[in-house]
Amino acid sequence: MQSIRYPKSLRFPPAYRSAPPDLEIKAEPVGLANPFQGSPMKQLSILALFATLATATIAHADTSSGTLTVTGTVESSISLTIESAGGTTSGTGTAAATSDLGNISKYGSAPTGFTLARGASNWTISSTIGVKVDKANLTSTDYTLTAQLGSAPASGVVWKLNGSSVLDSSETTLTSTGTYGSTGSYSWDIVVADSAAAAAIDNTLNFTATSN
Amino acid sequence: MRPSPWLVFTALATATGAADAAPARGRQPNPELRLVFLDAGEGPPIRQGATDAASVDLGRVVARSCGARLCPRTVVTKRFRLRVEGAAATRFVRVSAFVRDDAFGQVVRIDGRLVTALPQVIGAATPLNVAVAHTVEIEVSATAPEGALSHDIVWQVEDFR
Repeated sequence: MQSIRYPKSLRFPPAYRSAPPDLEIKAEPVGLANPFQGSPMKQLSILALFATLATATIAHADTSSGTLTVTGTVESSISLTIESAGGTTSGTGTAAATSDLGNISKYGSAPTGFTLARGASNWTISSTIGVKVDKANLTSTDYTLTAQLGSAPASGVVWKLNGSSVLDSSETTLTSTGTYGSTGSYSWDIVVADSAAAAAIDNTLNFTATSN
Repeated sequence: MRPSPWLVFTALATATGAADAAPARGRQPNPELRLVFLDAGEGPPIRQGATDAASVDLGRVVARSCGARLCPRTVVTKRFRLRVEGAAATRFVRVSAFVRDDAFGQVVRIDGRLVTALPQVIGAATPLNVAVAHTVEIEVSATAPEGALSHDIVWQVEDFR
């Protein structure tokens, strides 16, 4: 049986004597193989271990810190877009859409996207307008939507939204519980009296959404 | 007899742990290192508070339009420069940053890197006494509540010797 002698303590080889003395490593004979016995490669491993320990312990860093404070004010906002409308419509998906109804008459064809209903003394073309309101940075859960004509309608012509007449002098409430992010569909009627003069009926429907 | 590789492995693992822990144990404030925040141009330091502190105001942050709609996220960007002043022997320092607070629906990025409560390395080798340009981005979600916006971004520099 071969007898193995273990060193009671291992000190740094000369190359690492600058390391702190508390890096002394003691090896106790606890049944492990003698790390110093065998090929030079084994001894190299131990030296590498010492180097790692020494490097790890002597490294330290000086620190300093500073603070950059970024401030601002997040403001809430909402946006309104016209998603659909009867007629030949352009600009849907924006806040300014245009609908061209072409030439309309009681006994002619209904404009694109409209239906035509003839009454005893008037006639009505009907369609819908889709309005969508989005919100950002707003805790409000619903909104109020109103509409108003941009100018006085032609004599004998009545504009209606959701069954209510829309005037140029005051706002008409379409809903007071509009849901953000979904398109609300509102009926759109233009009632023309048989007595109305043949002329352009051009006008503008102005929608206003107000968060509740 | 075979060598005992696990002994070396265990010892090396211990050594590695020590390497990680050593900077923490050895860290100490260095009054020689000073952080100076400068505006993006050649102007003077941006508004200084206490030593090594500065403040920038982004003003009103309103959701931007993506086409005709509101963007789900709005990013506000501020460019500035940071100069680490020091007379240390080393010519480079490691710069990292973290935020003290965490606001719902808001994200802080520096030079495109997400910055959270955990320090994020911004510059692994930042030269001393040279103003280095940085960009801070505040991303505000449309679901974030309105009101005051405030982020304390803490910058740490480490001078390894």
